[in-house]
Amino acid sequence: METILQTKNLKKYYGTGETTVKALDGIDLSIEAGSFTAVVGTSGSGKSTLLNMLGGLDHPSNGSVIVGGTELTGLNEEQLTIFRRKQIGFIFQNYNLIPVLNVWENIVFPLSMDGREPDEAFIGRIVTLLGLNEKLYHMPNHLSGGQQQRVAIARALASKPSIVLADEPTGNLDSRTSDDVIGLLKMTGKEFHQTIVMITHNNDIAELTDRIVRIEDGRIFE
Amino acid sequence: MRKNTKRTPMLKTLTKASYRANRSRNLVAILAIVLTTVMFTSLFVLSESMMENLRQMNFRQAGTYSHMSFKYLTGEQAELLKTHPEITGWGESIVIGIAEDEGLKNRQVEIRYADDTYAAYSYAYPTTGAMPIGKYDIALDTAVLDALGLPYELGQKITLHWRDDLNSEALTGQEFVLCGYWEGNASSLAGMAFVSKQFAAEKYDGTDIAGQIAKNQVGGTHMLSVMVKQESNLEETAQQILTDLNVPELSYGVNWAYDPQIKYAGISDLIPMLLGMILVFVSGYLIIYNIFQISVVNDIQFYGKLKTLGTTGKQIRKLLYAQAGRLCLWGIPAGLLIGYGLGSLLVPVLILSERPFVSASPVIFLGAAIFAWVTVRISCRKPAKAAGKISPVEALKYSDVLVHGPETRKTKKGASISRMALSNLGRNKKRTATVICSLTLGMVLLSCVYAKNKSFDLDKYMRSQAISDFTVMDLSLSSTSGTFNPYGLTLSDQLIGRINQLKGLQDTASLYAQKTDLDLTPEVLDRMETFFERDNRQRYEAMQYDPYWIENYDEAKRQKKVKALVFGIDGFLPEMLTEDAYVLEGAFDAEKFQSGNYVIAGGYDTQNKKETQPTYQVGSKLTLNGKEYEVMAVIDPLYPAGIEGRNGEDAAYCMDFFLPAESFLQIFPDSSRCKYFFQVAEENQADAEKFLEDYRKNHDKNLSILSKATMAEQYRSETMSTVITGMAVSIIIAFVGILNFINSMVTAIVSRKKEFAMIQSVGMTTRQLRNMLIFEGLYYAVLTLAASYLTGTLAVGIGVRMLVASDWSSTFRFTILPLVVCTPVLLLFAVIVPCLCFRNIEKISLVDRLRAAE
Repeated sequence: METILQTKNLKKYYGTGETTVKALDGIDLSIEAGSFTAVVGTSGSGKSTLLNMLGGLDHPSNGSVIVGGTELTGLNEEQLTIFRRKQIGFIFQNYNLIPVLNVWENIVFPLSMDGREPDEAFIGRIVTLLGLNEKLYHMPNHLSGGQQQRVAIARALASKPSIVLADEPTGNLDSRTSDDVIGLLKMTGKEFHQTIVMITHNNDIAELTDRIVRIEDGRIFE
Repeated sequence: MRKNTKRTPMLKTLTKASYRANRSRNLVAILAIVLTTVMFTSLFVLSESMMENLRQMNFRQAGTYSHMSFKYLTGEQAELLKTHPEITGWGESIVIGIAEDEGLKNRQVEIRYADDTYAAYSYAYPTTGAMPIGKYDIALDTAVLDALGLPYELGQKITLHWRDDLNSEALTGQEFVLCGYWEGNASSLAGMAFVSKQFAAEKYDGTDIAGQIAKNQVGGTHMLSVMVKQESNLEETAQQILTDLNVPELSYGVNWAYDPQIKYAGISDLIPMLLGMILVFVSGYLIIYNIFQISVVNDIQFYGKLKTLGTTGKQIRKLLYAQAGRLCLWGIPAGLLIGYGLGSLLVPVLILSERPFVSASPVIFLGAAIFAWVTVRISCRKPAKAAGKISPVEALKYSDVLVHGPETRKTKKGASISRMALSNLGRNKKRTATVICSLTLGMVLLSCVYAKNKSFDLDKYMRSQAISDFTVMDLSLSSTSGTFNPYGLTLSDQLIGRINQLKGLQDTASLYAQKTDLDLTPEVLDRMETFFERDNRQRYEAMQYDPYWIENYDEAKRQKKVKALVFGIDGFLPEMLTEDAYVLEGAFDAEKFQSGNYVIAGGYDTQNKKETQPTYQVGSKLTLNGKEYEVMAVIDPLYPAGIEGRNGEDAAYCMDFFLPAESFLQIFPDSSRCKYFFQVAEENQADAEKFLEDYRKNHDKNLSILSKATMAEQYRSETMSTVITGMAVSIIIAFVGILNFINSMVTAIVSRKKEFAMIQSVGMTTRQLRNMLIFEGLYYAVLTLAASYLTGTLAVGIGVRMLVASDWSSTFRFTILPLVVCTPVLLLFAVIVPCLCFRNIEKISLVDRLRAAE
């Protein structure tokens, strides 16, 4: 299988001298295309930092991140944003929906920002799969947490990204809804052949994925 | 309850720490406090100085600032009065007489000995030279020297004449040597000439002063000007002093300038100042409130954390107030200094006085400091409350998100930056509306003030104020108060001669005026009553505001006698005054008029031109100063051809009559011109103007000139305070609008920090985000401009047009220039403000912002 995501000796240090915090301390990781990977670890282990690095939200102190053949450290802020909205779909713990836009507009937001016409048929399929057909014109604050997270998933998928990065997508949801959401993620991943990297601290949820990567003190223990 | 002493130092530490953490806010807040204090201080300086100048002016008019004076005393009585404990200061003088020399006819010059204190009380202490020492020394003012035609030279010989016996015509003369002089006071018609103590003592050595007083003579009598302990109830104090000393028969006079009513009259002038104070307070409040509000929103999570850790709301409020207090510590003293400087610069501009006095009363500093502090304190109230009330959970979630919105919105257009910006405005409709309204209000007001000001029509104004290109007037008509002087010296024959030689001179006319008694016939009395007392004494009642008028009118009816104001006219005046439009009764015949047997009577302009005029009717005869005339016509006298109401108290109600100048001078010989009118060809007007200016500068500072140039100047100065107030109000409102706009943008941006981060994380570039914010600003601007142009056009086109229509000095001209000027400014603001706000956010990394609330 081909490697779509790769980090080499990835380091992220905060502060200098004696107060240096090593959030990531030399991570070498390869993730295969189409896989569903869970990253687990205790709080402060560096898993969120890793995800931010993979998504180009943060700059590493050392080492490199290669996404689909593109070396992210070589891109500037503006190029990173554009790369992100074309290649990567984000799902956050707190959904991060835009309050002034309705569900449909939220879903197509990254596409609109990129100046692309949404593929209505494709998005229609996502919406149907996620059970959002009835809610397309609702405003986000009139949806339940599970519904909001489904909108966020739809948004992450709408631009047909090769990679979906999810940061505790079920963190704010009850266990039944959580199972639903993970099921949906798995299903859409298969359906659209996407690579999913998900952070979680919930071992039951991690068990549902193809691969579990454990991080402690900025290092990988697999 | 015991206070937890351990917590106070902690709060102090917190205050210090958060004060230090907010350097840029502190700078802006200090600037705002300085600005507020500056405005308060300069207003205080202005109002205090205005009061003080008014007092000084009144004192100068009264001739002294002493509280009261006792007159016609013997030396012993004067000594006795000085012993009274109520009297804290005194100045004594001995009267010699009143100078009756040529040139002093219209200036009462009192010759007397005075001690230094008396001279100082009377604003008559020599500024050059000294008070008299040698027996024949004399000190007097420059106005007297001018009147006598003498140079300002110490050591010169001056001879004055006076009557030792008031009942005889015999004059006593004496040659003196000028030992000192001071600047004469134009607003007081009386002047002083001080002789030496030795001169007075020797002159009245052995004279029975009590006898002099009994014979109603003034020579040798003493006068005592005194200051007492308390300014109030001077009348009672004076009587008390006389009763205490057992000399109730002595005459006294209290200084009217201390009359509470006079003081009260001054206070009404301070109302604009009061409005100014309120305005400063409101604008200061809005600025400082904005700064603290933004700062609280910015730090809301910090306060939330404090709350979580057990800080009470009261403590958080204290924290904010303590920070504000620290800011005041810097801002207020700086503001006081700058404000006092500014106020001192403004006083001479805004207070029309010969010698504007800048007050340095402690009231200014104390008042301004307290006002500024109170403003800051009140401004912090709401933000402090908000910070204190915030619940820890809310604080962590706090963002500017709409709570009540539509459940759904049927659109599938996709997200466009401009539409998102528009939706963002809709998140807080109340705030958006406030911003747009206050900006619009300011701009519309500005447009109205400007349009109103722009509609001033100099030619129209000129026509109402003057009947010729140039008018020169006697001093008594141009000074701030007093009665016209029929023997004034301003319009000397020499001046008239030089005017008559001006190049391009076309037409001239003179106006003379005198008061005389006139007997009223039953017919005239009847006409008076018909005119003033018909319809339930409507016109009579309307004159109640002028008690002198009422008194004169009632007296005229009782005595069957009235004061006649007789004018002598020549040149183009007779023709001009009797143009058809002004003739109310009879007809004017120039030839008959010049014969000297006829008189024109002045009437009143009424809506019904046929109304009976309250004066002698056409054809009837009347006697003016011993000569009989026949009334030829009754006219509505043109206002500029009069003496501007300087009739004097005894002629508040009077009848006007016009005679040819020639016959006027026969019955009132030696009268001098009150006004001289002349027309000058257009191309020579500038030269004429220059001649008059030069004459005023080099020969007679008292010459008053009316011309297009002085008229425009006069209008400007008359309306300056209104215009400044109008402009200030609208600029402050517009300023508040802009502040609201900035505040609105800043809060919206600061509180959406996290939202922006998340939008960016899902694919909006920084540029797109900035564009969205600029769009938001532009929407504000465009909405404001649309509202401003619409309401501005209506307000100017309808409101100002109506306002101007009733104004005799204006012609309406449509203009919304201020709006046009403001348009690019506003658009620029709309772009700059979001950019600046955004720059601050951009500095923080995306991940930090995303994490901020987690």
